[in-house]
Amino acid sequence: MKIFSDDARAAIEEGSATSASAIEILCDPPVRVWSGYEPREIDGVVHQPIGDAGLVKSTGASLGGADQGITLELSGVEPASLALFDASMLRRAPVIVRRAIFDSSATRMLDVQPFARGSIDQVPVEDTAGGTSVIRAMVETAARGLGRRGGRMRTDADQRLISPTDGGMRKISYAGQVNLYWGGKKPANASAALPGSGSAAGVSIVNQA
Amino acid sequence: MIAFPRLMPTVGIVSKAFQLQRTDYLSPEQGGRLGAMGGGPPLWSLSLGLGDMSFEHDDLITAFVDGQRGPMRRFLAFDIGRQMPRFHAGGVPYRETPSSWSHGISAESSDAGTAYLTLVGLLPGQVVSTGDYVGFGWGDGRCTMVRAQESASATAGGLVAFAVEPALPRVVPAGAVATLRRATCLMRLVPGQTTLGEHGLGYVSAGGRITALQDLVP
Repeated sequence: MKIFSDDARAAIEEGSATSASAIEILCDPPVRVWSGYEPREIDGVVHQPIGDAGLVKSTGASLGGADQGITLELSGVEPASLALFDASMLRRAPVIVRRAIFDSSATRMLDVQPFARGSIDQVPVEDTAGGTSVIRAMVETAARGLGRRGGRMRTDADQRLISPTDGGMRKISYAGQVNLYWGGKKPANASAALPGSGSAAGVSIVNQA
Repeated sequence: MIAFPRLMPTVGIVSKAFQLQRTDYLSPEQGGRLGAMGGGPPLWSLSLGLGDMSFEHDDLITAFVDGQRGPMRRFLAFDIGRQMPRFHAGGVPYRETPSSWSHGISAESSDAGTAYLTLVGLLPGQVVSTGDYVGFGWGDGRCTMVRAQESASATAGGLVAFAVEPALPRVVPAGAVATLRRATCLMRLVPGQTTLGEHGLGYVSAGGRITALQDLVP
């Protein structure tokens, strides 16, 4: 786990800490941005300021569960920073997300630690007319496919991207499901038993295999 | 010719709010402590309420809002209620521009994290009152401001130190020019929250509002 310095831990416990995030994307040229307002040297390299408090939107993990990845969200950023995000250069670029802890004045950095590492998966851009414009960068961490050589081979559709005639994955497109009907009427036909259709009368227990 | 960034309009204003806005990631637990993570340095926000005004004044306000092109352009915002130190507003002479300044964050346990500003080269006895602003300008028209937390008066050598809020952002370089008169910061209009009053018979009715948020850029 992350081990913060004593100063940072004390500030967090006191409730006076201020957090910021820094993102380093090692594409060519590298993109280094952080959520503050001045260019700042973090771990030896200068990060450009974009002043966005919501830089790292969602991170999540569960013990033993599937890796959830990280979504970085950039909205309302300076046009100068937007130019850095040329999507064609970002493919599978390594990413380091750092979390910095400041004191309550938000000017004195107490500690900065790498929060997650991974590689860029997708960079969708959402423009809502009359609304907001958001760039999201989805980052895969090492737990998901960093070591793979080719495209991902998880579904039939992915396999057919590699070879259109290769149907070897067609039977494992979905995780298997078993529906048990206790004390109720069995569905009249097979389509009603599939997920997504209306449930039959009685109690149904869905057991995910 | 109009030079941008423009100064904000000063006519037709009947109320103002000039406040610090901060992002906090508060604890969602009601019974827990309120303290939590802050989301970065605070920014100045401005809200101006517009009263009944003449068509001539409305023309000026409308031209200003139109020229800002929504949030596209920055403008120079200041607290219209405190454009010079309160003690000196009545005509007591003071020096607007200190010859130098320094800024530090206290590490004492009693006031940890408090930002202190020291101004050098003022008139002896010059007073900084609680709520006075100190502006800083640097670079290509960049500026920001801080507000005094306590009153203090300059020593015989013209030196005064007082606590300020917010802490001076690190984006301000050491060579920035400080000023005590009409401290300004760069702002952009918040779209959707800036509305202008409707034209009535003979005057423009109250109800307009100009809302803006600081744009802190290096």
